[in-house]
Amino acid sequence: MKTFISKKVVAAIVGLIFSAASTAEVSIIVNPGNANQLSTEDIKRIFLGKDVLFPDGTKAAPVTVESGGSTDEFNQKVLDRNASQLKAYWSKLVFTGKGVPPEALASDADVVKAVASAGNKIGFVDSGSVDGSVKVLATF
Amino acid sequence: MSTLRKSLSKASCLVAALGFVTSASAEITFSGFASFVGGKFSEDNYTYAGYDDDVSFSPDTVVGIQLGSKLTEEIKVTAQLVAKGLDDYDVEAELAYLTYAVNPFWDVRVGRIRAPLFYYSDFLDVGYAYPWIRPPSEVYRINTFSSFDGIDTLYRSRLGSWDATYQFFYGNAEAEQDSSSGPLQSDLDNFMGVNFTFNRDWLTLRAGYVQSDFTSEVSADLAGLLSLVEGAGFVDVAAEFDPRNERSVDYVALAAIIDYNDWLVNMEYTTISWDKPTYFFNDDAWFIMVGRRVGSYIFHLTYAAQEEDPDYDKNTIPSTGVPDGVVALRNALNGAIANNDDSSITLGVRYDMDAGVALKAEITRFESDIAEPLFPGQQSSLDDGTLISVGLDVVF
Repeated sequence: MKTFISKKVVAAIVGLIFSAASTAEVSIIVNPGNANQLSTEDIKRIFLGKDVLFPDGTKAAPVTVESGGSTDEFNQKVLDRNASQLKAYWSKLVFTGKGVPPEALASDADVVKAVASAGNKIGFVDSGSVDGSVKVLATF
Repeated sequence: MSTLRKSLSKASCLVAALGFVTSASAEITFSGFASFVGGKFSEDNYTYAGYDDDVSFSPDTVVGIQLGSKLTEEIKVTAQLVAKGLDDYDVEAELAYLTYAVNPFWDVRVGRIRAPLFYYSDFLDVGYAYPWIRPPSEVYRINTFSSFDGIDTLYRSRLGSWDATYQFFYGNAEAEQDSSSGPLQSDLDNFMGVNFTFNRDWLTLRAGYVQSDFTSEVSADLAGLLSLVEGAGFVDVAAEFDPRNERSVDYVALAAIIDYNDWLVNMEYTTISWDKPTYFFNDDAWFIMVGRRVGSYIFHLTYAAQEEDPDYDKNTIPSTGVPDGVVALRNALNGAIANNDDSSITLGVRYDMDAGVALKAEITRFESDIAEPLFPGQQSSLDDGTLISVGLDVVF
């Protein structure tokens, strides 16, 4: 319990520092019940639709935030693509019926809520939006 | 501040509630694409990529909407309705299929599916997904049909650090072609094929093979010529050259797509061959594009070529020791066979104005030559020409 709280405090402080420096830190979040460990490459593959399952075999359901700071940050740092490149990537898959982009939610709060309530969801939010209802897998 | 938070959370509750309602009644997803293109070619005695020397907005302008509905975890229905300037904006269903997901890696689809002849064939209408206004016309030369009705299966797997996709398909298609005596219908039966796509980081490789039976109506002129050939006693030649008699066609395509450190290199080689004589598309065609991404711009340069391999050797009507009328028949039949050796160079730019909106401009220099001269010094009847086009592609 103590460690949990201190982690939260550290995350909040880190979040504050980063937002003060105007470089949003992005946290990759999953449901606290999700025991999978994911590398950056694994996260990238899930958000590009290349992997549809978590390493333990359960179906991964990625969720994104419609647009904003954490989206651009995540696209550049993890997916290595800008918004236009990502749109072109998904256009090719969607209009050939070969893939479906992650569900896009309106805000960080919606992503946290969605991930907290579903065991197979994985999302990214500004680290400042993280609360105790979700587990942080990685930060970028 | 707290009032704002409250109203925001109220709004998100409402959004969540709406989402719940729509998902409870089989959620329908909606997406779309559109291209608005204007262009002008320099020549007035023939068209290139659909353009003549009047400014035209119809050859590449297209609007498409796609609807999808997931009925169960395994079953999904997809429809894509497309209106093209080329077809006077008549709405056509390019896609209309049911997907059954056997497992997360394996889909079976039944209905109307895009005919995946070459790399870009699957998404030829979605300009936003590629750098050009249109993929090179010399290679993407088949514009008489784009979909088939049948069944396909898509299988995805990992091979070491490569992602592989395998597609097998079977069905039939109909094509319609303009002629001097009105539209001619062609039937592609037993239309089947396979393609493999391998992707690793910055490199994508694709190999595809398609085979089909083919029969076609003929223009009044060609029907007349064939009956004269038959009447002159060359029954076998007439039968061989008559597309109303079924023949078999093979399409082979090899592509490599590179996107490395903002350098783009796309290349594809395609070849079409027949078991019996044909008047068109008995050819090889290929292109190479080199592009460079600079911020929101992509600058690209493409060379494309198409060369016919005319079936003159299958025209066994003698050229000597026969009456002049017979020689004239022989020459007329040879004259009906495509004999072009074309190439083009395209310089273009794509500007990504916003995610989902791209502005493009291109200039293409087209040159036509003769593949196999029928007589010494035979020249192409087509002058070299220049096409300028500007377009806007969107996805939504």
